[in-house]
Amino acid sequence: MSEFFSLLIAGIVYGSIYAVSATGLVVTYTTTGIFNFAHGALGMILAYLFWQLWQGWHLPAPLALVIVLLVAAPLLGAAVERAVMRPLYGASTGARLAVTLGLLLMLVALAQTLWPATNSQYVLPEFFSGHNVGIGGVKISIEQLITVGVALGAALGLRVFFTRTTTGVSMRAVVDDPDLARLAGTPAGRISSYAWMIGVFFAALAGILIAPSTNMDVIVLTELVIFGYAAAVVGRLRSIPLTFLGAMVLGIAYSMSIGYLPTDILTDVTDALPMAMLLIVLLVLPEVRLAVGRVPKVQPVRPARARSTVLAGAGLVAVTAVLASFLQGTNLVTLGTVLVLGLAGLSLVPLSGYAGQVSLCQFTFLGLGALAMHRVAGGDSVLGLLAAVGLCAAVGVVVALPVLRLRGLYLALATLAFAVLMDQIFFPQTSVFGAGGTILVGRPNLFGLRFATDGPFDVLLAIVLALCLIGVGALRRGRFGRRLVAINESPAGCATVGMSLNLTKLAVFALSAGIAGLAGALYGSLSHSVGAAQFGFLQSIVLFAGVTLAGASTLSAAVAAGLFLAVGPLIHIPHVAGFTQLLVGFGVVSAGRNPAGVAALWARA
Amino acid sequence: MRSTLKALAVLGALSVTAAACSSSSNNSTTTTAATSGNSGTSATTGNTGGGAGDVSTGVTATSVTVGQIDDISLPVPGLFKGAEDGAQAYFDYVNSTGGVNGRRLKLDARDSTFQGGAITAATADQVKNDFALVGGFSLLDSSEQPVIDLAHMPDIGFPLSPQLANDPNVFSPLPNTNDNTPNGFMKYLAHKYPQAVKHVGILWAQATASTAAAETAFENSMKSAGFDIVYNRGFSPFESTFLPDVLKMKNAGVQLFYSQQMPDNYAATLAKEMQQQSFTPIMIQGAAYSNNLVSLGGSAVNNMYIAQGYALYLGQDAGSVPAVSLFDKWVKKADPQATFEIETLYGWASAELFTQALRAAGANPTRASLVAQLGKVTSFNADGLIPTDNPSANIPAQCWLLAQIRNGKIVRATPPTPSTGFQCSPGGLLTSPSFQPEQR
Repeated sequence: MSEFFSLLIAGIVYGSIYAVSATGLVVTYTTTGIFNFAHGALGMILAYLFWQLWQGWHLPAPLALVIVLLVAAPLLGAAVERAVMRPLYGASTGARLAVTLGLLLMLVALAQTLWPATNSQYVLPEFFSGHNVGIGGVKISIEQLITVGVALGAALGLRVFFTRTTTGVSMRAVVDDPDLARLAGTPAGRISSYAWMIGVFFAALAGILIAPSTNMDVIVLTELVIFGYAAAVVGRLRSIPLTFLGAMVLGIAYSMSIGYLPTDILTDVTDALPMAMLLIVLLVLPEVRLAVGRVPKVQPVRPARARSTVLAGAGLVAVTAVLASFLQGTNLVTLGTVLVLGLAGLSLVPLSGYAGQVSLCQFTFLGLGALAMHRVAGGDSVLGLLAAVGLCAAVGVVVALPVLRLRGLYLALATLAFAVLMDQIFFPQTSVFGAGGTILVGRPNLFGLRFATDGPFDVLLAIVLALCLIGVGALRRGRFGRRLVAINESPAGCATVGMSLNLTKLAVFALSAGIAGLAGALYGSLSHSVGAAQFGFLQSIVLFAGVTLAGASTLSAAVAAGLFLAVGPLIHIPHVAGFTQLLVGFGVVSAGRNPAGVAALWARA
Repeated sequence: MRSTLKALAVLGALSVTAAACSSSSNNSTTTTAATSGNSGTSATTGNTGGGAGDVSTGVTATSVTVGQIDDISLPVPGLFKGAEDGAQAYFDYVNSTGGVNGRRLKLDARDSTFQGGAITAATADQVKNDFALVGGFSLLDSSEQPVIDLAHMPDIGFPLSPQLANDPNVFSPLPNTNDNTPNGFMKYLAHKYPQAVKHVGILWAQATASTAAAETAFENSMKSAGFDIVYNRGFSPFESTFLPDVLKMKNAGVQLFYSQQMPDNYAATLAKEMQQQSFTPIMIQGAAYSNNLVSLGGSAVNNMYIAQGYALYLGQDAGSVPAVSLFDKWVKKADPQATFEIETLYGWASAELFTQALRAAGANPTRASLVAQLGKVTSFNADGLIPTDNPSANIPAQCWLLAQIRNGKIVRATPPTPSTGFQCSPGGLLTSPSFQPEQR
């Protein structure tokens, strides 16, 4: 019994970390209607600022705390709202998600540039080091106690704020309908600024509270909040008390797993717990509650004409053939990477661009495609390519089946949960990518051609991409394409006229996953060897952000995204870490004023 | 600190780094069949062998150029820059003494951009232009294998790919241990702590397939030495507290905690939470050795043991092991911002192994003569930076060093200061059925 009680206390402490992370996320969503993927990154950068003021410039800790929490965080929140988020009102869920993802990438790159890894760690001391409080046989540090208190206090206090104060109610009103709120005399812009100030304040608070236990790790501080998504969804992204409850359930389940599960399943269970809980909660919440998407106010881009797509495809092959004839060495590989990532980007066009379904797991399908190519018929057969398409299309359907009723944000979260689970549980198995974490992938033998050198293989890649571009273009102009656009613009209207939303969604998920699987198989063939680490969930996020930046509803966006993502890493700027991430992030954030993407700007020009 | 967390690609990086950590920490628990420490002997190479031809790729009258490919820009900026720093530093040192047979050593270092295809292409290019590959470090290094096999290109480095580790063209200054695990250290612990090894707790990084494979070898080694593992869990890179683990281990009566894969920041957090719960098992860490460990952990890491397969290369051995001060001096010259990762040591040791074989290959070296000389290096210790191993037969070192944090400083515990060598104890190698000794 005493073990149970001590594990319960430990679970509450653990859960409070999730609660603090998720609270700010829910505050932002409640008060702005934007699910801020960059919430953890904002907390991270402000925790680093706190370190800089306190440890770097030796200001007194209380003064540094006041500067960060009461000055820097609100200013940053207001700046983000004014410069980045305000233009997004009325944009599609995908565009809004992409912008916050872009902000995340930008902040991470910024932190790695401003506070690079050196021989001296950025150590944030605990305020009350060595002071503990005994509760039920467990000693809790003052910091842990404060974290629990902040989580609980925020749950209760913010509930009162949003239901009993004029400002709180106004914030919710602005989210529900900003135009109506304006007509009622509510200063929507100012209220929205306040909301972001509060949200970033909580991000900073969480960052500073959690930073000592994560030892200021940029990545952990940024991504820890992802594991709080399950708690936030328990509260349907709006209820802070329920979010607190969800975090406690998560923390206690984690702690009890460690206490009572057998060793042979313990590791997988504890690793899977946050994302498995997120998936389960998404699946059991009532459907009506999940309809959080807005009707996009962006005009759809006109479909490309058949002649122009064929000409563009032929041009792509011709340009590739010319480039392949004089490029050498790694430049040929870069050219191939542009084409393969273009194909990966194209997989998002029918799904996200046409049908408006957000997917944050495309690189998971690339990984599965590479695995299929490796495993089937000796690793260098056309059968491997077919297997990659078939396997990924089938997995796409399996993933899509339970999430068919989800839209927008919740769909994005569900696909993200799938990607993280595959990333953390499936890909690391030694039976999947081998003991070294990498697999060898051959090149397909087509009509006796083995494509041993990179030049001819690049031309093959260009032909495959061109055919897929022409195919997707034709699909967009046809009946199926119109159905995709229709379910994006008005799912209710589609249902009213008797269109099967589920079948259409399943088909487009299968198509998208199949194209991604093909891209994965060819990616493996191009690289000869691929590792599980190349198919992590963050690559999927970067791809989604890149394609959205380029304009997900246009075919040219796919090629542009491939070009950007393949060439970006080759650009080195002295003393700037993660230039690609910085550039993608900045680009996506800048494109927020035009949520249809850069391609749409060109189309209008 | 290139910790487990950084492998995300960009973010997924977290896991990637773990592979490197695990691989390195495998080597950090080496042991031996002998009973005394060894120190200081340098590489033993065969007699000078002339090359097969007068002109070799990458060799001119005044220079020898070698290639290297590392993961630099992705998945995490600067991830394995240390490998380049280490090799460049050793070459700078050799060049300052006149080079090898009057030739300066040059490093043609490339960034993999975390693309297997880029590695393949860069390797092909280096086969055409460079004499050998030296000190490269990449999570996707298996991509170079088809190219080096075709060209019989000598590759001196620390391969992460199991296939590459057993490639006849590859010579490692620190042979990998997954299939051929030194067992003496575990037997030493079993002898020293006969009661505690019956109550062992372990935590390992559940990050990549290589960390899982390394953990399997590690656990097999423990069990063969008679350990009873009463608590065993793989942790995710995203965990920020180990409080439930600490409580469970305390309740389970764990007396000895051992993790070979825990980076410094995690080890510090765990130590703090153990201290918080007044839980004081014998604590042994493998991969946590860093300049930051003490500042991160404070008083909680006092008495922590650190099992090492290398000298205390971050500076603690600088006064007693000349190679450590040399390493420190030249790495700082090569890159004033160098972070002294374990890959830095690998780069340096690889460059040293190459240089010794090159000298032995004579005034007209060829790739064949270089390989022949590498094949004769049956004993190598990088002038005392690492315990003696056998690069020729790909047999890891069987000696080790146990450091301890005392009063906020990392010091040698076994063998104790002022010893400059490593402890060797009976144990031999725990060889997996799949292990094949090199037949060169």
